[in-house]
Amino acid sequence: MKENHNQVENHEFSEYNKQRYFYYANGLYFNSALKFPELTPAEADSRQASVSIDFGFVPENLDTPVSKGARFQASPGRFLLQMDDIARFIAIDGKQIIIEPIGEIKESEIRVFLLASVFGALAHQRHFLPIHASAILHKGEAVLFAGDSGAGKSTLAASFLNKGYEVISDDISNISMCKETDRMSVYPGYAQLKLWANSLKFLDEKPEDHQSLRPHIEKFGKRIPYFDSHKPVPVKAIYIINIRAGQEASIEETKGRRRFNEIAYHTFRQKLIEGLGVKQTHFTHVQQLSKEVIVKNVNRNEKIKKLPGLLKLLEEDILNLYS
Amino acid sequence: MGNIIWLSSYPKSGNTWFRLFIKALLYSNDKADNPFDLSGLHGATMRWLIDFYSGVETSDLSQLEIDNLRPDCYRSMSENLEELCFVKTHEISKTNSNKKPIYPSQATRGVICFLRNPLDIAGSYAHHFSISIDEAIGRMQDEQLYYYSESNGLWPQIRHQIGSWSTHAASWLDNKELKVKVVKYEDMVNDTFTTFSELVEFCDLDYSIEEVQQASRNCHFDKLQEHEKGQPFLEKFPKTESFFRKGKVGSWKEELTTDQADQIITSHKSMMTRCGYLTQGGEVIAH
Repeated sequence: MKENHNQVENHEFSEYNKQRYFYYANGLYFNSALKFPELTPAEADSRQASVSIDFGFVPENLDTPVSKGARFQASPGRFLLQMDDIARFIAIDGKQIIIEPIGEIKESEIRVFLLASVFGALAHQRHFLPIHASAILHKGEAVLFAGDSGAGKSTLAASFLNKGYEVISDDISNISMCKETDRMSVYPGYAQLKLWANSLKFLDEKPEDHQSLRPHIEKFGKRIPYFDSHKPVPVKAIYIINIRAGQEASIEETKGRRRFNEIAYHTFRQKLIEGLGVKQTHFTHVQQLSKEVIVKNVNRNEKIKKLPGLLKLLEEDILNLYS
Repeated sequence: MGNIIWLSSYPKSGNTWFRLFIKALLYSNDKADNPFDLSGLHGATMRWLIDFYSGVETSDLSQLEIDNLRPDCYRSMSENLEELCFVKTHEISKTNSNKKPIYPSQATRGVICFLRNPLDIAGSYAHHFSISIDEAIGRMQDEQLYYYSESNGLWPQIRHQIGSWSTHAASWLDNKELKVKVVKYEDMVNDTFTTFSELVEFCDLDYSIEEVQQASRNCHFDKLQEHEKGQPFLEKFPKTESFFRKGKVGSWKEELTTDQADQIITSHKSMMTRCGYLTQGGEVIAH
């Protein structure tokens, strides 16, 4: 199928697109045909919506992809994702997302991939710097926990939530220069933390009390309070979480050029940067952020039972950022 | 033809040793002071690698979905690479639920399959994982042995099947789709330079004898052992004292009881004979 779909073809989906929902997340307002319990509801005013989400036909390939992976293709202004038996997605110019369901519409499954890869690509298209990190609020500023999948970003955010901190975002933290504060700032994300069964057990919570995210995966969506504002929060520090088998928890400040490298590496979907044609913007953002924030490398033991020690160390370090 | 050379082995069979050599040869001949540098040489089952080349987070996928994604992912990796790349795996060679080989020919330049006498592996395996030799022997017999198989959490590697020592070896030796070069750990120990030179030739790498000699010297087992006293090796298991233990051939004679040796020989007789570790009469062949 060619990339250019037309209104006649999309007519088939018009029924699905009638009902509209309005949300805020990651610095963007959404006018969506799909209901998102994970997103903060916004005023039903389509004029302010920056991104529309609709059902429609999605091409199987981009005409001229610049970069390709096993399930995605990217070119300037275009990001295509295909998930077997679920849906094909396309994000266009950071303004429009089209979903073509494969087989019956599985809304919760579609949302999982929209909220991760597709919203990540959207962030790049909108010239945000999406960091693979969760973020909590402390003294009016944001503290980020970045790391590879499995580093414990969401578990740390959930643990700090239990200690009384507010969670700003999970998994993707969209950052850009805020005019009001003249600082690189993170925009509030989703009202959900994605947690595995062993993390819920650590938090003394039961999996059955939370939404199962996908079949055959022991991963759950823990609803958290909506962040009480849509305003971006200036970033104070980024803690890069590394799992080091057998090691005790330790924190070390990262200096010089390594700060740039760490932030660049922990950019969400960094492989998309070249394909989407946002290399220069990404470079500028990473450079600016690395100038403004404290970057610290955290080594943590792989065992979840060692997390209390890490949490204590991290909280002390966060409090000391202000001493 | 792809750009990936798979370094396949049952654990503790010389895979890491060869990776250190190839790293020294390809990237850091002049960096003899850090022989433990493995940056740029990846593992096929690392979660971040599958995430990177697929465009989705494997943490949102089931094990079955991940395995169905992997052939495309490695093809994408191969297409994106500008030069030959060495990728380690301890997994058996197998197909996914779509009947597609996990390690696809389109991504593959070749396979170096490292073999080691299972009698010697037992002691090394037990040391590596801080388990008893009997437990190690049990794992080596387990055709359903998987690593990172716990489903209640997220691990740095995806779940992958190791299988028993025999099924692991058979899966790669019988792979007719890929060009497989078999190398024995015993030959790596007994004649490091000649064995590594053959592998360099198999990979069609253009290096002089002197360069191969230098890289071999930088990664001599004694040197790695000595270096580990001052710098921990990242792939060392937490409870274990050292990664580079003995590196000797035939140490099973001091490590195993007669019963333990018999158990290994009985379990793996057919494959040990095929691989030249046993005579047709069942006698252990000294290397």
